[in-house]
Amino acid sequence: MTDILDLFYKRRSIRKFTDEPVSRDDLTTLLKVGMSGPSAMNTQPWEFVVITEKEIMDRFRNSLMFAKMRAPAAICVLGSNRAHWFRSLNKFWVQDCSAATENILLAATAMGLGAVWIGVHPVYSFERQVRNILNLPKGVIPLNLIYIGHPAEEKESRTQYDEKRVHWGPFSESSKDETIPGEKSKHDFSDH
Amino acid sequence: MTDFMEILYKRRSIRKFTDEPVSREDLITLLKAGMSGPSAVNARPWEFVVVTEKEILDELRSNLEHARILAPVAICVLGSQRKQTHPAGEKFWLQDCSAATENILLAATALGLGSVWCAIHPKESDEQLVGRILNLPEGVTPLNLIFIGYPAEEQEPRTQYEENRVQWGPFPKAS
Repeated sequence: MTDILDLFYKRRSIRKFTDEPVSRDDLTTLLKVGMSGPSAMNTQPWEFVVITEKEIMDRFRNSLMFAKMRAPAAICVLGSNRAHWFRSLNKFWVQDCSAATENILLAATAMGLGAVWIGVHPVYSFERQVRNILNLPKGVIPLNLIYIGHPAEEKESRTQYDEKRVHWGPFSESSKDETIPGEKSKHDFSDH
Repeated sequence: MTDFMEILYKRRSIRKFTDEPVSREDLITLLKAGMSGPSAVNARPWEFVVVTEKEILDELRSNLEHARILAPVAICVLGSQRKQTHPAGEKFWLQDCSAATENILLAATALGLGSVWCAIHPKESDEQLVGRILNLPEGVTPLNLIFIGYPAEEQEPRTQYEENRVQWGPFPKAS
């Protein structure tokens, strides 16, 4: 059954795109899979902004430190309680919107597109910049920007499976203490 | 690749399972899918506990109000500060581990298994309970319990797409 893992391994962060725009159909498909994700008590605490306007993409590139790539389109996933006006944004919105984001990244991969997840929340200054650029209303919090396009770079499929991060059964007293010396010194800014 | 698109819609929360155990091979497949997820600066701030011991599953079920699921196995996804390879994990572990969780749910669906995501974090009392039952070390935070098994109920594939949750282009400037 290893072929079911193929798509998961194929999904990589793609940061170089061609000029080719992403079609509205494709963007709508990505939104459909985003909104098919799970959410606590099925609250669906999300909204999505879809950007294809060059001047907006340029503003992202010029103002957000980690969003300098050139891409034809972006989806901004918003944590939102506007559908439930009587409640404050619930404490599961980050988990739910992250699951939606992962669905979008996987679907993009399946469709032959490339994508990269650019973190915004919980960095307040990034949230503020995105809020200004997109004129976000009250009651929503930008979680991330997903840059999307036709890939102009190829990355190998890979797993990052590490059996040392798996514990079969509850921890025993001796298994609690294992550490991997030197692992904390690895910095990998580019390859994920 | 359209088969994969179907998996995305097919994934539902399944809460009723048969007695049939899930093979170790299948569990490793799920963990492989989980660990292939993205993470900020590739910090991989995660660990996983796989619980198949009936007495532990019983203890989890009887103590956790929102996890009263009878299943042959549960995977507990841990946010792991102790194993992250970059401090970015501290800000983004919740998002990264949620993406890993979604990968596990989808891989389970692809294998013909059912699954359901039972939240633990950020409810501190539940985090402490799970910490005690699973004897968790310092430097990890239990995010959730994913109950997995062969489904004893069926749910239809679906999307919950709503047009009114989509804004094409920036919002208009408030006047």
